Amino acid sequence: MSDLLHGVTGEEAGEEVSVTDRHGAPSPDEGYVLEARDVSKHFTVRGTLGRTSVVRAVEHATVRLKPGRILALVGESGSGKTTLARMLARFHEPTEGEILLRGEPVRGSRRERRAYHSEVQLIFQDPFGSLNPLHRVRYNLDRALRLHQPQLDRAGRDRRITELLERVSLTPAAEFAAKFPHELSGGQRQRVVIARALAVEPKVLLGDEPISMLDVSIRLEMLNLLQRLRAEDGLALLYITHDIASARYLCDEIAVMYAGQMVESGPKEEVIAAPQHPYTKLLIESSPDPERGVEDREALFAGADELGEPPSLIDPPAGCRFHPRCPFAMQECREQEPPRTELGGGHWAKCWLHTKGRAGELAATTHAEATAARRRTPEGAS
Amino acid sequence: MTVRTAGQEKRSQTTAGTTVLDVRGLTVEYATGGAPVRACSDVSFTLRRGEILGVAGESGSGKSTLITALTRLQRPPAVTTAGKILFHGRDNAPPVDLAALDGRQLRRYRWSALSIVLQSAMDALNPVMPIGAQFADVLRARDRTLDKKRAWARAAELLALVGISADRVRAYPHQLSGGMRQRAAIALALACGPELVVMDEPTTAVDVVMQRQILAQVLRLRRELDFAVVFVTHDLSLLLELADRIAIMYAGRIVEVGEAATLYRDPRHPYTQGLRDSFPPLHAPLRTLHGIPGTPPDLRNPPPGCPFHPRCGQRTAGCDERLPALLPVAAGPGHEVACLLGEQRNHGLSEQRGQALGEQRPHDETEGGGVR
Amino acid sequence: MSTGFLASWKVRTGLAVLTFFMLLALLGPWLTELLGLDPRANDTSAIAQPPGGEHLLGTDQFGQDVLAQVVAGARGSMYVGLVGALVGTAMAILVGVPAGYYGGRVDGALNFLTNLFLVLPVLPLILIVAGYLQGTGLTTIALIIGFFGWSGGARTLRAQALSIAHRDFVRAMRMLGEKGRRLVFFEVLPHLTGLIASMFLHAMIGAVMAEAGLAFLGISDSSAISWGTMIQSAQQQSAVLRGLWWWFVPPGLCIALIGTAAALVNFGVDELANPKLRAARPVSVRRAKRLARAAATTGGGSR
Repeated sequence: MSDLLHGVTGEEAGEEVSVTDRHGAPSPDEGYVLEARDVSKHFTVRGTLGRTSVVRAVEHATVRLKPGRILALVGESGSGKTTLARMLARFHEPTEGEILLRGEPVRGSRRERRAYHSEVQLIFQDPFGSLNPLHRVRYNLDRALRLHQPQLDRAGRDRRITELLERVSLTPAAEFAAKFPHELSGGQRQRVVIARALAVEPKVLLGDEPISMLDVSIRLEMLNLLQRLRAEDGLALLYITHDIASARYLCDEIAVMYAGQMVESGPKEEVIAAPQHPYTKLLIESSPDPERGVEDREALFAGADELGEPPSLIDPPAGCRFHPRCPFAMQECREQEPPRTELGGGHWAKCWLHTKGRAGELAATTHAEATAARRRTPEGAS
Repeated sequence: MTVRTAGQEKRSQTTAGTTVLDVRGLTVEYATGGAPVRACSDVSFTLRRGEILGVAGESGSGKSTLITALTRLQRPPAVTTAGKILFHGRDNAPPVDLAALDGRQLRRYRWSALSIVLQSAMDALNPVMPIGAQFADVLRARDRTLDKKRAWARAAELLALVGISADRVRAYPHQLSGGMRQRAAIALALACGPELVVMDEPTTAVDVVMQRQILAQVLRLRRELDFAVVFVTHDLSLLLELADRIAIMYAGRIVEVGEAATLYRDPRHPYTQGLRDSFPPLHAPLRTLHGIPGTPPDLRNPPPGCPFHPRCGQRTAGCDERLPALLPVAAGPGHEVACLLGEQRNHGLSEQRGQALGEQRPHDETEGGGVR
Repeated sequence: MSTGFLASWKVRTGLAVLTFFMLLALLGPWLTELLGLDPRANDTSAIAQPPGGEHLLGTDQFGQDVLAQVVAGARGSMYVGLVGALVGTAMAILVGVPAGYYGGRVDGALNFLTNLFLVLPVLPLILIVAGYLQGTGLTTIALIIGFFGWSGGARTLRAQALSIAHRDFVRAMRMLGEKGRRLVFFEVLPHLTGLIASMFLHAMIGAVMAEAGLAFLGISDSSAISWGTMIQSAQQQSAVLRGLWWWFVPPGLCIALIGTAAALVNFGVDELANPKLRAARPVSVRRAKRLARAAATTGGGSR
């Protein structure tokens, strides 16, 4: 693991992880360890009477991960964030676009797949489902080591298992190694899952809502553990979540997905303090935040009882996919997909407000207020 | 603040902040092969008309057990072994002990006095019946004179309350989105004008935006229809925004209860402090947070003394010996904590109440706490 | 886990009965010798005798001792049952699990095969095959029964394997680079042991009955003794009409007992696999009632 630390060159570790869409010009020498370039995933579903329809789960998404950086992918369920993670974990092949590992496009042969997974590992959401209940902790780690560190002998593997369990704070290691999953709490299981992924000595960890099924009180320790791994090993981390507060706590950058598309991305504080897409704004305003005043509850919830729902991915709305719910929607929004606007410092958003010079309206109001104002002036806005 | 007090005043005009539910010493045990396991021990609280009481706790804290006991939906091996659930009806009749009713008597109170919203609306709604038919069933079971047509019309009205358009009344549950189903389940729970709605993690399965909508609707409907809510969830950050008062449960006991604002600003129990600090802030400056180390106790083999002491960073001598009682503290009106630290801090207070230790708490102190 | 399994009276009874017949099959020849009986000896002095005296379960038309025949028949029937079940279960595993796990084209082919065997008119086919294979010994019968009787089990296993193959822990191990075969045998198959055990019991009782049925139809080794051949010869000599009930009741009862025992063990397996059934077990319900009553008499009022 130490060679990994040195393997990450200093200047790379200091740089930004960046997320761009297809218009961004990627060059291979920017030091991305893993990149999904302009990927789309369409699923064909068979309905009644043999009719098939296409679910556009992800469309033209680009994710770039750099060593030592954490990117959070935030969105509601059905926004395509999990599908994107599963494409990066190679459970699904992208319908369009390609996945590049250190600038090399990856292919599907069995050998390449194995090489890929020795660098990229996924942490599943459900720690109760991702460990076989019939195998002890030791078995899981031992298999990972046998497969990826064939040079180790038995004693070497045992030593490594102890090291790994201690890294994820499961001590005494010998005791935990002998346990079955059902003897562990949710948090301990998730630590075992992380240890198993680390046994491979990966360069990239993909976390698919890794804390959402854990008890509240131990979530932060899990985030602290991921934070430590990033700092010590220089791992690149993709943190997928619906909880924007935990994304802020852990990551460096935030990318927001809505209905299969990326709508905004940038440094976390900028995105959260001054969201530049109406959907990001809605998401942040909807997230619980006790700080903003437990006093004024009625005002806090005023106007929040009709916020709409995400669209169907089988037949998504034309133009901007958020326009049916958007209090700022204009004629353009219904007709044409918005272009990407660079806002400086790696922050960008896809919204017509920026092109039309109305971006100031976003900061001036809240989603609920804007919606209420909109209702008062029926269909007035151009 | 102004909006809230206005709502408060309106409420006090109609129902004058009287008690609707008074739970005393409720104890629920699971009959297992060995000794019975106590999932809820000596839980007492009162709920006033139109109040939202939040109950927060981790998995295994006994909050689900409390819900099933309150609503009398529990099944073996869970057994209510002690305690009373006194329900005060709107009609000023003497209180009824829900825990002592048999199935037939209980049916009179279901839906019209007390209803429940479950975590998964899919479990509450019948998948092979249109939504409207399920409303009609409930409405007509309560009021036999109601004909089918009027029942369906009423169903459409109820759905409109939660923002579901009337044409969805003929839809089947699977044709609605998860959020809509949950809203339909809430409308169903309100169908017969209950005085108390118990909500068991009603927003856990939906996204944050939908969660916001549902909570906003609950608040609005509460204002319009004047029912009290027991809202159970693991998400304290949510309760801090939603609830009037919050009870924190740990290992089957209420360890702290008080007004939401006080509980957030001045939590007295180390567990509440840890729980509050388990939610990273959305806007405030970030600092490293640690949550609560360790794991909840095994209720089959609870630790001696305070059940939280093995995880507690502030434990002192005696924590592993004596079980602290839930006693009032000066933090705020009606604020109560079960912690030795709190007892020491409020030494005078706890001596006054010394006799109450171990026995049933004087009932009036929780009621007195309601005066704002 | 095993103690919980044995805690159920159904399992204990079922296992006891099965063990009894296993021992009977294993120790049969030694036992009959000990009793001084020979299943093939014809006692011309006692033909079609009712139970009692020298012949505990009576004798048949040919003066053969029914008890000795039942004991010897246990060996034949259990042998056919075991071999048939082994063959059938093994084939079900080999076809069903890979079909479910691999899916796609493998599944297409294997599932086609399964469905083919499912819709084949098995009994006439067995008759034809058995008739074609001259000199049908018990082993041949068992193999035929096994070969034609695996398809139902394969379908069940396929469905189960399919659901397990998509569980996260299999995905995780695949992501780790485990090979397909290892995943099938170390990750998926162990989760099917309960199902396979219950299938095996089913297959065994099925094979015992099939053997009896085939023997009844005359497809058997006339020199071999099994419960099937006993019933068949009783039928041929119109034992029912002549009231020689002691000739066909004991073997019939034995078959019924084994069937009941297998069913009882399967109930136990079900309860183990499905906690809801366990909660509804009378023991649990009684325990809860006792607790409630104790609370009502002592604690409830005083609080």
